[in-house]
Amino acid sequence: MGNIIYKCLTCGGDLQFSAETQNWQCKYCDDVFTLEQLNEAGRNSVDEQKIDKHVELEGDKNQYQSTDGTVGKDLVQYRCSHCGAEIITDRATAATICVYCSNPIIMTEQVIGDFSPEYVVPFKIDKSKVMDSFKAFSKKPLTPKDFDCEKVVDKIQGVYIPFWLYSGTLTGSIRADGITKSSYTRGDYRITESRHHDVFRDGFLSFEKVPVDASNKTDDAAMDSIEPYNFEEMVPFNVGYLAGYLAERYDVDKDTCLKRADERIVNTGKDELLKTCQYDDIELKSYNHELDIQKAEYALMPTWLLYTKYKDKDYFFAMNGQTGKFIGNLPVDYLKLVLYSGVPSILLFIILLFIL
Amino acid sequence: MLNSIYFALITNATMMSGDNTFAALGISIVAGIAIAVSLLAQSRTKVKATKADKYISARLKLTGRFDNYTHTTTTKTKINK
Repeated sequence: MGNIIYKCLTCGGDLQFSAETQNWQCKYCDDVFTLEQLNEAGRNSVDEQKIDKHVELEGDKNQYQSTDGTVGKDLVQYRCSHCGAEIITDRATAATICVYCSNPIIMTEQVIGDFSPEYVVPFKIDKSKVMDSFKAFSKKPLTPKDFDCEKVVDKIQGVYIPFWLYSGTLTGSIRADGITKSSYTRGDYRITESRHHDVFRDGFLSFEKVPVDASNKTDDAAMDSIEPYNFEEMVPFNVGYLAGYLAERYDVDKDTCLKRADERIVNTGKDELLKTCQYDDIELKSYNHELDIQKAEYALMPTWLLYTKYKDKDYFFAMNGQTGKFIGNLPVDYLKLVLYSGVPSILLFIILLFIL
Repeated sequence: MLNSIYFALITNATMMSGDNTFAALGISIVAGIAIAVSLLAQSRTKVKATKADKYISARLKLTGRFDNYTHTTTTKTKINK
């Protein structure tokens, strides 16, 4: 088991998955192939390197840096079958690009057996569109003038992030104090009457494919923020989709990730039950629930990720590789914040002094 | 600098009038905070998800419900004329 490269059926060059055409394109002769054509060609389209296994790294592992900019402690070594260069990745990397020859490499042992994803959402947004989006995204009123997005945008990388998708049914009941209010005037007084009700609701609702990222290295809030993915475009997993991108395999199991899905589902269940109570005010007294997860599917989701530094502080930006939704916390120029909010506030104060 | 201008304006205005100045001050401060929050929100778009409403596949089916009246409370507020 080693790494594999998809080969062009015309010239033997390396193939990459093209987000634009949704097919596989040769880097050298530009010929385009469909998944069916590659499957028909069978092993002629695949160049699997004849190495039995990755090499475990010995010694000071902290000297190596992984793809996300963090330093990994659990690293392995592969050899690029195109140029022979040594590729050092952490254990969770499923696909990468050789830094010497730009060759797309897929570590097959990271996507088989227990680590074999059931589905993949293929990339739909290519790098040029991502770069334009980031430039537009970074032009916010409070962005510092010296934050040069042109300099950092090249570092953006397409990464397949592992996700667990949970489907199941939530059964829950609430007990609440429901209040209807009515007011009237009597003499010099405003009288408000509040009619209290003992409210009970019991019911169930189903959820499908609640996503939770299964990678320790990615920022959970960032992955939540680029949702939703259109799961109708999800396809059965094929390693070919990884060609030309980085990919991670899961390093957080489905039982651990379930806590995050559980929290979201339970909150939504409570909201849905409360929505059925038509009162002016509702005060929740108790909420009992039971979540039955029927399945947890393992899928890879396309993301464009950018890690950068500005004034010694780390910044992380992410884009949904299917829908183009861009998120991240930009650096803030606090002088601009004071000016943009303070000046209108002072002007309003002066105007109000004359009016009132 | 902005603070000192603001402080001078508030001091002058307070001397000139009374309640209206505080009303103007309150409104302008609230407006300033609203602008600041809205500007900051444009630069900070990363938020942890707490809901799963986008993934509801079958809507809520109620299996039990009741609304029992318990009591009434009354509040009286004097109207300022």
